[in-house]
Amino acid sequence: MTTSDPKARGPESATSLLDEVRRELLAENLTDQTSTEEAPLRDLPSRVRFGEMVNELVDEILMSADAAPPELRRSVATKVDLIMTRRRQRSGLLERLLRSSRLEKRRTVSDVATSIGVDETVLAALEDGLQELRATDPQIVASWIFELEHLDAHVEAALWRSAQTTALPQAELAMAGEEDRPKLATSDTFVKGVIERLRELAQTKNA
Amino acid sequence: MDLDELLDAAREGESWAGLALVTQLMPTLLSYVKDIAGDLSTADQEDSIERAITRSIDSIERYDAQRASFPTWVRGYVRYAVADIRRAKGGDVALDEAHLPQWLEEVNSGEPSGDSSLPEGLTWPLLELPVTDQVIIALRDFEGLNYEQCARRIGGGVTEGACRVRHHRALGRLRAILEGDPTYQHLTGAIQP
Repeated sequence: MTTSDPKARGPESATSLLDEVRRELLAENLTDQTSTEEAPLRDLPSRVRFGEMVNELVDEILMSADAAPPELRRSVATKVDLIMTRRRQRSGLLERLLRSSRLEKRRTVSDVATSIGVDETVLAALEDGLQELRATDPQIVASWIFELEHLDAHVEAALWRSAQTTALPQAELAMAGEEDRPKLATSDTFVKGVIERLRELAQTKNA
Repeated sequence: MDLDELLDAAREGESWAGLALVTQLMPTLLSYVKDIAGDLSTADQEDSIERAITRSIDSIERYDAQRASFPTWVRGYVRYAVADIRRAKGGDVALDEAHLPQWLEEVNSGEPSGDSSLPEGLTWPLLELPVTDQVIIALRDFEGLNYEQCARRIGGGVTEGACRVRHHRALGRLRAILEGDPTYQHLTGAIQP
């Protein structure tokens, strides 16, 4: 079996591919068997791609299951349920999320605006969706997030959603004139800019 | 319902989807962690599973189906949790960031993955290897199994010796590919001759 492109192999199941792998390994000539254990490629980067069928096959090879102890299952299920609840509560746009966080912390718009060094009317307009998030200085957005939240998957997802809300949908982009194209690209740059500044703020705090 | 639909529902915060993922993941991860962390107590093994499942589900937005299967992605979190537990116990264990599926970090932050040996945008030429080579390298070098575990998992009478020899030869073929391509030549030192 030398085909390295899994797509060229057709709709072969992982099971039959496993049989082929077994056959090849059983046929391996062991007469010049090395006695030393090959050092693992510890320094291989995480940027690694195996063939699609290889990934499926590895999953199948590692598929064997052990019975989960009920206490462990209960404990993990409880934590995952909390994650799901939080995810539902925090779904939506960043502006809504930060407004909820501010109210939970019993802080006023004025108080938060002063802390992050921005005019109160600007922050109020952002919270109310009157000012487009993407049109705001990433530094201000980062400071706003940092004041009320920390960068986690939920906040990041909300940031992406908010940034993309005003971006052109792909279908429209395909039909748009050149003057419209920067809008979508700006969205990526904007989000990356906010995340970068958030990380700088976190580093400054930890220093 | 297929896995993609399940993941979408979990992203939306559907409790049933979260629990379904726990049900699907936990038994196979328990079996896996016994292989890669046999030195840890049962409590620590279970702790690593709990950490891995909650962390991966909490970070589900970062999962990219184009880069790996979902179980592959979650096993990365298991390895990271195991290394973290060993380190907390005072073991001389580097918390190998390569254990974490960081590729989406790159997408989101624009930061390099921390691997300096490979230019950005370049992946190791593993696809040029035969499937069996890829499988044995994946199991040994990335999933963290030893040769005995590789043989047992592959089954069908395959021996530890066959896995050892095949891994040795697979790395030799990978080394030859690296040496023959100017893009990768500087990486040949990463594989012991």
